[in-house]
Amino acid sequence: MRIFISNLLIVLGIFTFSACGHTDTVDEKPAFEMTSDEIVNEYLDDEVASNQKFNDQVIAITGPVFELNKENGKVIGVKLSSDEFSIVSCTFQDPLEPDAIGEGRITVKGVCSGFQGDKDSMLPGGVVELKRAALVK
Amino acid sequence: MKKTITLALLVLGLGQVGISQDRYFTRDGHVEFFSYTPMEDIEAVNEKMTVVIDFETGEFETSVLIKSFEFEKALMEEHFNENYMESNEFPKATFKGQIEDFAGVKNSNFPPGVEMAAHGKMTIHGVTKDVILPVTVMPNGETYTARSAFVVNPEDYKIEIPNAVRDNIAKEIKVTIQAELAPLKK
Repeated sequence: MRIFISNLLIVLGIFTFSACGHTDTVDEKPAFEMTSDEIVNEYLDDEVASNQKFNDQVIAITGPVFELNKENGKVIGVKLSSDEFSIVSCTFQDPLEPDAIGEGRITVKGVCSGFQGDKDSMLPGGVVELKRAALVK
Repeated sequence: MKKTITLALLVLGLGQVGISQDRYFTRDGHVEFFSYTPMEDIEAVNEKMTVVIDFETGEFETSVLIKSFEFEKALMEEHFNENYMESNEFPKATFKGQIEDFAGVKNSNFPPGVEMAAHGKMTIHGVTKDVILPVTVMPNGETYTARSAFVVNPEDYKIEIPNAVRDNIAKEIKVTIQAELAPLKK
């Protein structure tokens, strides 16, 4: 009996380990909920501390739709921003139909990859990136 | 008098909202890398590269978050970030430099499709090295398409590959970049 259970656990472990897929963000509870302006300003204020706080965390961001990224007629990403230089850029885990995203302010949750911005860069502002994102309805 | 002042203010205001014809950029540049060995092919894609080119000075910048590289297998992505690139400590890879003989060519003998050399500093895994990258820039209506292809040796950037998987990872990783650049509006 013990050998059977051990073997079963090994098989289940191998199955789980080899599944190799990413978890569904839509099912995960966000560690932080904030606006696009708030998180960008926090990164601009202290990038090192913000990386420690936000990187790899599921974050729900609310902000105005600045731009949609489309591929093959579906929405693969969205940029939330009050201006064109301080942006939260979200890449969806699963592409969405174009009419799934309304106008104005929306909420998206995703895993924070970090921040792209540099005071010495030719490009002002910065971008907080969320990957494996999902639209919050 | 009022009309004159209004007109003057309008002209000054319009002067402030100019479109910079000098700098072109994207925050959605495509970068991918590919490692081929007889044991395994490894590839990853990142669609969030920042690329900026100043057409007056030839300055050329790229930046990409390591955690934004997407792999087919989650475990491979985890190993890439935690064990090889240590992306919590070194979150970005960047290049800052200048495209040789590029400054001011936009309005003169612009060499579309001709491969040019970008001299600069590449920083990966916290290590900075002087490199020369091949770059082509093609006009595309109101935008420009920039491309580059080069190889990176992980050892040069102190990226340690465990002996157990040494044969699974190529000594030279092929990197390709493609970016559609639009004018940077001030």
